[in-house]
Amino acid sequence: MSTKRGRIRISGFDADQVESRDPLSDWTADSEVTTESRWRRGWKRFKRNRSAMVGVAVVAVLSIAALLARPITVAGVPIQPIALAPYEPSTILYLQDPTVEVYDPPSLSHPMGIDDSGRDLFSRILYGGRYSISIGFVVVVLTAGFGTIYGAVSGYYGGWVDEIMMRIVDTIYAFPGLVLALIIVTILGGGYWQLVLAFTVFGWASYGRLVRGEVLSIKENEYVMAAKALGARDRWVILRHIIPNAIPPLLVVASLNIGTVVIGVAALGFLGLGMPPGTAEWGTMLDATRETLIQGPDGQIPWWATVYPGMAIFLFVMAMNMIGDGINDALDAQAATMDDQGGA
Amino acid sequence: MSDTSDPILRIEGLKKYYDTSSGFVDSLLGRGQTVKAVDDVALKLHEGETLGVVGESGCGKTTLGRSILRLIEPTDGNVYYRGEELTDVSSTRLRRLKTDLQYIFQDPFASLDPRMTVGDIIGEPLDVHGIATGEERIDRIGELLETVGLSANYTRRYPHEFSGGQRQRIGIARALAVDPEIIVCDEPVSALDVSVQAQILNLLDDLQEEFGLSYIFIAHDLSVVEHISDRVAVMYLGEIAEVGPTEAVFSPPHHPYTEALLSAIPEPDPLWEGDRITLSGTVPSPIDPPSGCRFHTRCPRIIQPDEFDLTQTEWRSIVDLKLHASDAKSVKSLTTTEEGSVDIDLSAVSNDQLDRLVRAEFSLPGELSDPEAETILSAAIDRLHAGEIAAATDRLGAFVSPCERHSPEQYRSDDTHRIACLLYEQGFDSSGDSAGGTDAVVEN
Repeated sequence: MSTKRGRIRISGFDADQVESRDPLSDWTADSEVTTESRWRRGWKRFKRNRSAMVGVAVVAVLSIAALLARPITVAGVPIQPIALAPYEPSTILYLQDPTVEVYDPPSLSHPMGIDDSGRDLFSRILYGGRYSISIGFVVVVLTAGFGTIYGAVSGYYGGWVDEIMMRIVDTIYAFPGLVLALIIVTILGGGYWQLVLAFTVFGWASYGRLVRGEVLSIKENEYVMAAKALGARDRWVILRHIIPNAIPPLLVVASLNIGTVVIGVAALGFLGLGMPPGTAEWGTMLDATRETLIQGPDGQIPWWATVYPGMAIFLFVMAMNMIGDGINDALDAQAATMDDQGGA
Repeated sequence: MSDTSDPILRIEGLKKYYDTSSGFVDSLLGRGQTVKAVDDVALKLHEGETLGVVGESGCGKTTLGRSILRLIEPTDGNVYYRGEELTDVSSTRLRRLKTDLQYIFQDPFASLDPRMTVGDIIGEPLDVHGIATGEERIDRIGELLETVGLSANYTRRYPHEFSGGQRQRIGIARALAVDPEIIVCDEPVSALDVSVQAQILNLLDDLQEEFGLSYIFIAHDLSVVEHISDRVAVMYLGEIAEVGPTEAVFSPPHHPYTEALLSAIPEPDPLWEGDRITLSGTVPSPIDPPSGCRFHTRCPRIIQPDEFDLTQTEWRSIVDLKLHASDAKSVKSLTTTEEGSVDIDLSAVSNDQLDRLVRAEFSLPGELSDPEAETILSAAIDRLHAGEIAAATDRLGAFVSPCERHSPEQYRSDDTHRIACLLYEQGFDSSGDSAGGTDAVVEN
């Protein structure tokens, strides 16, 4: 027995002297596959998701149809000459063609029938997508952009800044979003940019709160401190590390939110507060023909006047939700590992 | 600016206190307590040397490392880098200084952004400081990867594809990108396999030689520190217990805490019979650190006052009893639970029996070797029998070690070696065998 240390020394395990040994793993430089970025991997998984791809197709068809519905000219120069829709959305057909009457049912020449003012519904629905869809995208881009920065700043700096910024969000949350939008549209009057404003001014709050929560957990990560240790500015840290890591949940919410905004716009339109009456916006079209829901002229119900605009809204919102779910699944880290490792 | 003997980094009176109050209601009512994570630390780092910092978990090593670089703002104190005071400089200047002072993180799994490619991670310091762009940046990243022993082809890969050791190499490459002078390594190998630890340590060693780096090397593994450090600082509860050249600190150990830490290194020899010093109790809370020498609550070599003449074990046990009594809520927590007996009703036991139970709990002998001490102890146990813990604590208050009263100054055994222990100070050494008292370990 001894109290002296180091009497046993392990030798013979000198790596330089070992001449043959089994490989540590079956890894070789040749077996490398090039790495995919997580976005590309996500996109691959998204592509395999059939309902999401249906959603993308519907949104694409509706968007392209809206874009190509009538020629677009900017300052007298036509930049989009194609016209899918046979008539101008505001043309009152019976003034030109006496055979057409108000509330004519769908026929070959007017596939979705004629509305209350004698306009071609098919043309109006194609053209109406320009309002509904673009408002949806514009509002979401604006609100998500502002909300992200707002939430990131609030969460990153914490303390009093966070306290004050989040109380503002709480105040906005105290009112139902649609009611706030309604008030703004009532004050400012209807119109495209008024609607955008109405949904943007308070719509960012939910993104602010979501991103702040994400940031609170992300900023505790050591890589954030590592970036600071490198001498990065706060702005750099937020833009390079915090926001990119907070994007996936944001993307899911934003894609689902487009549908919500479109519904909101349609709801305001239906209440007669959206676009000026007579505009070919889906919700406003529903509003103009809502009396037909009960009984139209001659005791018939001209269902096409409400079903087609309603169908357009339904299709678009449904498709956006399918896309949102698809993005959610594609970016879900847990599902990713299941996919890659399971089976075979 | 300075001659070569001047330290490249000088830390003076560095303090980092945390406030435990949560939320503004607490702070409004002043309900918070102060956690003294780092308390009055002074250190020097010379150019090209490695200063090891060791200590138990929670003793403030990481906080120290981070406050040096102002990754967390120190509460008080100064850090001078080449004569420039880091604690005072503007945030812009501090960012510039990060090109000279770098940090390697403990956990290579958390310190690399999972969404960035390795190229971007290593390129980040280059971008932040505008050191290199375009083609030059790509070349530099490849060069850095090869410096740390990885392939330059890895630039487009993501951190999750690498092993722990490889990731730590990436972390090291990132720190090297700015061509630093000083790197604070915060337990860079403790998250890694033992076999990989050696590789990383050797890499750090090679890099030090190649680039003339100075390291502050934080670790809890003494064998690692011994391997890599030129000088060692031993931390206990936010303070430096001992600092000096590795040789001087470790063989033989001077400070009782260093001695205890060293004795805890595992030894593969089955015939080895070294005295493993088991420290009693847990590390005290840094919210309310012990008075005097912070180690006195656990120190096996705590100094006896002149009026008593007890053996060291008896004295240690008595101090333990005293410390426990002062925050005991019931007599029960001061007695041993005997095997077999389920639950003794302490109010029913006789004075003798209680006496036995208390002595058994603190492994005190039936009668102390010093009659005067025995009288005090018996009186205290009488009070316990009467159920008056406060009165008993009062009686035990007669046992006062100088270690509780006096904070040790840092005693200098020579120019470079400083020991914060009263055993090495004039006028406190009562037992006579204290200084170099671990000779037994060395000679046998």
